[in-house]
Amino acid sequence: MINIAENFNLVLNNKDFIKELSEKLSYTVKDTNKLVASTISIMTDHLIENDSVMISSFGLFDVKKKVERITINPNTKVKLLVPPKLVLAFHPSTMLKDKFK
Amino acid sequence: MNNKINIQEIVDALAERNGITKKEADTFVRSMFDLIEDALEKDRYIKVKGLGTFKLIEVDERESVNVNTGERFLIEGHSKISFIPDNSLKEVINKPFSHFETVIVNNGVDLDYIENIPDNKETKTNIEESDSAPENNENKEIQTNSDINVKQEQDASILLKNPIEEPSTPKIEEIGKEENTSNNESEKEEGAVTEPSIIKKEITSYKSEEYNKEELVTVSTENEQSSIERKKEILKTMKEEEKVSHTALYIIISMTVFLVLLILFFAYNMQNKQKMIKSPHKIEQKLKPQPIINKDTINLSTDSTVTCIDSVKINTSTNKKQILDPDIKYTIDGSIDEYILQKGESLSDISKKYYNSPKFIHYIFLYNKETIKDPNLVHRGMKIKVPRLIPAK
Repeated sequence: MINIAENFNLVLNNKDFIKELSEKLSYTVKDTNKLVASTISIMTDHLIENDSVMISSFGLFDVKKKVERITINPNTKVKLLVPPKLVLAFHPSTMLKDKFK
Repeated sequence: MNNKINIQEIVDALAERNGITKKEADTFVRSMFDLIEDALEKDRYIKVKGLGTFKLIEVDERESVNVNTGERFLIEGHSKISFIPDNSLKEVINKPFSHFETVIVNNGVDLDYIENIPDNKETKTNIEESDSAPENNENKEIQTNSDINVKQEQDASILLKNPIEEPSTPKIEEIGKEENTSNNESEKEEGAVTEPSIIKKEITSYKSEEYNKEELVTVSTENEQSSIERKKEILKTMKEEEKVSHTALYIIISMTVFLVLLILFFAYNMQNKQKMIKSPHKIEQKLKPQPIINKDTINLSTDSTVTCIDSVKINTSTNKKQILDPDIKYTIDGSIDEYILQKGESLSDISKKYYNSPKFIHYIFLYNKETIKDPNLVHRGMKIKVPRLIPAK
């Protein structure tokens, strides 16, 4: 699905996204790129410390711990112990949810 | 730790880092997420470097049930926002656990053990349940049996009461008393299950006394029948005892009763032997004074044909009984008997019946492999060949 979308140029890529954002705010692309990167790095800094980041009207980013589990490869029947891991999850705000319903 | 960070804190940090005013930073962050939102709405897909991809996913309409009212309702098809974090972000977030790797588990026994524990428990409870269900049925049957007996006793008591008491020797009375006590025991057990009034108990115990005498008369007509019936009674009482055991309270009662019964059982065996020797003498004694009783006993015996047939079956089985040591290995050499499974009986019951120990199930199972597929799943009416077991050399 992603490939098809990319082929038809329907997708707003990172490049397009920065470009559009810079036009909107009348910043240079370079500045916008820098600002976006630093915004995300601030967010990740908080997320690493197990904090959740709430962007009002958009949604909530938080880190979830997935416990270890045992899976079996259905083809080879090999049992695998999957270690615990931390996963970033995004919960869209109710406003955003309703918008796309 | 575990704090909620607001947009304001991001704005403050951003302004500080990049040397822009808070107002500028605020508008920037807001417009950034607004743009993501817009892009999602327009293209249904957006990728932000360093953060991840947001996607809109179509959800088909589906039926659901209201948990509170139980009504069915339709959830309409809608779009859902999906977020997949960027690989670099994923790794950064998972840094504390990054040293863990997916490990191939060898076909470990301990793993199976962990998985099997709850299963075992479940099967155990299942077995208990399935055991208790037929037992209850049997219990009812036995109760109806005893009701029939009581009726018979009532009929017989009128005729039998006086004449028998006179000719009965003190020895017979003794036996009668013994039997009476045992019957009382069994009735107590029934009482534990059904909880009848005390008066009823007394009546039944009195009638059982009558019944014992009547039994003796039937002994005179058929020599071994009394001993067979006694054995059946013992089996009955033993069965009843097993039945009581499913509730914790009755376990204690039945345990004590069981001990008493065991003692009585041995006492019976002794007395049965004595009786076998003395039985011809008794026949003469009973037949001479009361020719009327014989008619009654014939009636009674026809009434109790069912029990007679049962007891004969048991007799044949007891004749073919092998008493074996369960610790020795045996080989199968032909069959002793063919047994038709009764309601609520299992292979271990047959094993107990023929070999005096439930440990010989697997021999029976081996010998009947064609008819029995699962030794835990046998049903009523199954013909089971009972193997003759010879110690292996």
